[in-house]
Amino acid sequence: MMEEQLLTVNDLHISYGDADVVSQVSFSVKKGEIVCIVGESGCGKSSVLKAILGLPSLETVVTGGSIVFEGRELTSMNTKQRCRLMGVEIGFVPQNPGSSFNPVRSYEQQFRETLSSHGRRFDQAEVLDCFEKLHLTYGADILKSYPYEMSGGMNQRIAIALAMLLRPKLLLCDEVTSALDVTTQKLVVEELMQFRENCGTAILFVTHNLGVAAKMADIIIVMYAGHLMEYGQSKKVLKTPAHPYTKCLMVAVPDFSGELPCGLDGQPPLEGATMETCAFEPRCPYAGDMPHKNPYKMKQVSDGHFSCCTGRA
Amino acid sequence: MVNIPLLQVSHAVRDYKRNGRQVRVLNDISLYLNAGETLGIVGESGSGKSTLLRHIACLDKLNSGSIFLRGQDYTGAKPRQICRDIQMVFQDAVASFDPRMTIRRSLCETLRLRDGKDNTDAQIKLLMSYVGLPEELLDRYPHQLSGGQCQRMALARAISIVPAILLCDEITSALDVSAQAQIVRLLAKLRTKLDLAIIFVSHDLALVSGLCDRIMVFHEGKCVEEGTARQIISTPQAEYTQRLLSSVLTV
Amino acid sequence: MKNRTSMSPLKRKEFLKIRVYSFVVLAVLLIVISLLAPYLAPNNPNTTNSAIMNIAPSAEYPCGTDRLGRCVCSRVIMGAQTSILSAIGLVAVSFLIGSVFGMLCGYYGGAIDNIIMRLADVLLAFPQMVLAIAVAGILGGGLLNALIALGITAWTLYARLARSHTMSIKNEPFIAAAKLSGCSDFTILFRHILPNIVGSLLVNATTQIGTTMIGIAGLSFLGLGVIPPNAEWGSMINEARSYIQLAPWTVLAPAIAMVVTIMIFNYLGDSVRDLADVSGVI
Repeated sequence: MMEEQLLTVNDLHISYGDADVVSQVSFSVKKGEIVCIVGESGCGKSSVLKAILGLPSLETVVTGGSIVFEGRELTSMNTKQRCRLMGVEIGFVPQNPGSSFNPVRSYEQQFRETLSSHGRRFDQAEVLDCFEKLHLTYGADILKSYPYEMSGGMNQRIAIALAMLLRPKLLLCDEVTSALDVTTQKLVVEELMQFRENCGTAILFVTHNLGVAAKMADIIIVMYAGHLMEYGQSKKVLKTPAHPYTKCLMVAVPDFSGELPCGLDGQPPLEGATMETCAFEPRCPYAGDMPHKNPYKMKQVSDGHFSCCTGRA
Repeated sequence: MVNIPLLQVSHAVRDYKRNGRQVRVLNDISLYLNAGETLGIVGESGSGKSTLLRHIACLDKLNSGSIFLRGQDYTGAKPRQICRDIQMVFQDAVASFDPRMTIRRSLCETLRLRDGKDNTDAQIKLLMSYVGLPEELLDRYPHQLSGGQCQRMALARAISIVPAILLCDEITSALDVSAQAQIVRLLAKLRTKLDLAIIFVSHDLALVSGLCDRIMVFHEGKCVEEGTARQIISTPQAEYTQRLLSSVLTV
Repeated sequence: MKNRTSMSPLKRKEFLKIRVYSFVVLAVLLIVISLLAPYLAPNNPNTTNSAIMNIAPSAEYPCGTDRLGRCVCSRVIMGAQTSILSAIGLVAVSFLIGSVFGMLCGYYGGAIDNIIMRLADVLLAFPQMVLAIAVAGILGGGLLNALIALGITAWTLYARLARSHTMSIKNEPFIAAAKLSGCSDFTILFRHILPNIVGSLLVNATTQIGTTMIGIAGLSFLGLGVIPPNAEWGSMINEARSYIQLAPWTVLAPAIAMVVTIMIFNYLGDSVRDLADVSGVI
């Protein structure tokens, strides 16, 4: 149903100078859905988030495609129009929480400033309640503290609290669990899922950890070298991964079998390396003698599960 | 003849001043490491595991307690005195190289320690083959390499003098899951080849369980549980260990 | 469908680079002029001639003559040698001394840090020029004494900067890795720490050239610096003060020369810092 689509990204192209960082990426996020984009460092997943946000970056530029949020085209908006969307409609939690807070102003001041700039009142009770939900004890003390006094994990949870307070329709999370301990990771993932339950917020979550995606995602999108590799309902992708790359990512996640996780040899292509053939082919265990024709055409594997390759020629 | 452990830490205590308060980061820690053994230390941030490694590498001084290498007390020594036996790989691989020097120059600096002169090319070729990286990467600067590549270079640097003990301080925490798997497999390969004793610090119990013979669980400066990897994973005794186990998100 | 701000970041970086190069060229030009001053001066800067006192600029005397009939243009050019070279010299020496002290303080901390930093605090408790005047007065006049007088406080800026940069760098993993590679403290300080902090220190040094020139000119203006008849912009302005209405060129020429020179060095420092901020290097 078109009315349910909150965000639709269509044929997105992002360039870094001359080279393409993201090519032909299309996906959508429904209301209240949790979508995880999974891939190695440098696959372009963070660039997709930044394009949705419209953050001016030093060299990356959207060169094609469209990003539609609730029927509005984001790429043709100017800065002012985008600013009105940010925070209350589209929230964002960045990867490095420490640098997104001003280190020399207390949390309370920054919370007040952010809330008031979006026309919301600072309600101490509401803020403390939000902290409680994230297992942040002594909320009153936290409000009086400064970001430099807090550890990375605490900062991350406080950043999520701030994003939650604005009750956005869509929350963008850029590798928010990557810098956290396992215990804090689990807490954050559970809280985000709870947030979706309580407020119906859709979440677009970028991560390199399939374990996190396995726990929280409704839809999993696998990216490699700027291209979409596989896309589908979380259970289907995890139980029956189609693309060779997804299969390799699955075995790279450590478990308690007592065996070492299996690594993929080699490196992803340099950011921006354009390829006529499948970018994954040099590392693909299924690569045959014949080059893969039309490597990025998405084919249906089953209902609600698409992949551009199934490992057979 | 009694078998002396290669490395022994005895009742280590370290206090730091944080936010005006004295915090006991290492609270009476004792451990031992035998030759060729891999010891895993798991715990959350702030549990003292990284601090312990720094003290073993003589990068910091204990308030009380001793550290023994092959039975000899070297508490309070300088890094220079133990660097032939103990080497360390850090969490932030890119920051562990001088940003103004090419990787080659950084490797040569450590190699000079072993041979006293630049016996470079053959040695470096060998090291690159051990860690599986092409030689062209040597002439780049640290910020031009990916996190995974830099970490492998860091491993190359650490093993270049063939130490007895390799200290790994959360070396995979800053890497994505695929690079993490590569590094761990490389470490296992190197340890067999060079008969290294390793202390592997991490917050990921699943990762540690596959790599290590024994595991110690740290919580707030104390060791709350210790045992073989099998024991810790299948029958954790301490409540904190159980909490850590249940926190790991697997596929 | 491009995402663009007023000037794309790449373009801005290019613009800043061009700015830096332009000012480097200008600064080098000034230094070359000061080095070649004796050959560039149209006339002898010290030859007095009572017949042509205070005459307006002409073909033979491009900036006119002063109250003793000396060619102002030649004196300005010779003065460039004195002002620019001695300012650069003083900045260089105080930069070296200050940076070394600062690095030692930052790296070792403890007693060394306390002693040197308290000394710096004491020296900085006095306004710099007042202290310089006092010291220059005690030592007597002359360019060298003026430089010593200014140098007494000049090193403290670099010491403090070097100290804080060293303190932030010394805990980086690559320093720990260097220690574990068997490097001595000396090697770590001069091969690892210094190259990583020198960039930002140099930016400050460049901006200090202007301040130092003003300091030298100020002392000379008060009669405590360069001794006449040697040409120096500050003393030239001092000597020509009373004739400002009669022969304004005698004051304007050295004043404009000083303003332009200081502006060029200051802009050089600013543009290097701007480029460093954008590209994240240095």
